[in-house]
Amino acid sequence: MLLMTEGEYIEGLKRGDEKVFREFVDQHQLSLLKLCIGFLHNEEDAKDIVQDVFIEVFQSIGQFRGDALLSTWLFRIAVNKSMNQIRKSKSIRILSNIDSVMPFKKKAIADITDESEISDRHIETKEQAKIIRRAIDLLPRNQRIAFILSKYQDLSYKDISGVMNISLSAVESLIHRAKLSLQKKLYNLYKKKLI
Amino acid sequence: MKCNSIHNQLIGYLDDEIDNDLRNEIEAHLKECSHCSEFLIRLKKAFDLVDEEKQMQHDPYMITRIIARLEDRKPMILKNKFRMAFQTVAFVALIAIGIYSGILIGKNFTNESPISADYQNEIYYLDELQHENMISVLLTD
Repeated sequence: MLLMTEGEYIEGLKRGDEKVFREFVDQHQLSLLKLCIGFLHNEEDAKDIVQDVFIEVFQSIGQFRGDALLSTWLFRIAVNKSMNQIRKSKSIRILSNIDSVMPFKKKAIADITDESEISDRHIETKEQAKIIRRAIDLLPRNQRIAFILSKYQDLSYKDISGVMNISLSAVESLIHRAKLSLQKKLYNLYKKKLI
Repeated sequence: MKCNSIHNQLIGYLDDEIDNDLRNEIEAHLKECSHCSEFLIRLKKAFDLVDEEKQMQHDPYMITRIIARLEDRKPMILKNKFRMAFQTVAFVALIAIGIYSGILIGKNFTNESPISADYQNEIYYLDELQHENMISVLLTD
């Protein structure tokens, strides 16, 4: 795999060079998949969003001003598209969900939005994973984004501040609050012997 | 150190984001508190599950699908460009027609109501200063 510099990628993409574009996709695909899976928890959805991101980059590269790193811009697009997809999925779920009119139907553990609804019993690892992901999904928007960028993408706080366009101290605060919130949720689950 | 204070630090402890003094305090507490040490094990396991989720594989067909989608979009992009060009031309034409109509209406209005000759004379007499100098008027008998 030929490693290109940031400037070479930008020039090649602006020229519409397919070879450069292929190289660019190859280089960044995996990190974008990791990021999107953190938001969407579904491999196919994550792949669709990653494709959308690369298509947008290819079509909008002319508008890239170069005031941030190309990777920062890439992650920014990926975060926005992932959050939009979540919003869209939520609307579809609300419209198509008929469970609310069937009061005696058992909810799947992953559908439970409030841990106080969970009954007191041990759950298998797969279900535990769903609960933990759900706890992350329930974080306030910016805390969730910062946490996922940190935990799933392993970005430094400085890089996260670039992606989210906020100060370094704001990133530290968001992640600190996200961790406290998760800790609290997970401790409640631990007390109920659910993790 | 109390259990509640420990709980607030455990994720930081797992991520190695705390200083050595705090780390030592937490470890000393964990040695004596089975409740907190058990919770730490569960917490670590929970975040290990998160780590498992991010173990994604490189998709060798991703670029093929992207290129195919870009190819599909080309006729749509051309169609959109044509539509935008058409809309621009239509807008400019409408403005031109509007301006031309305004000029025509204005001309017709001017032609329909010519100023009468008497009215013209009245204007003349009201504006005599242009025709007769004030100084010469004052100097003559």
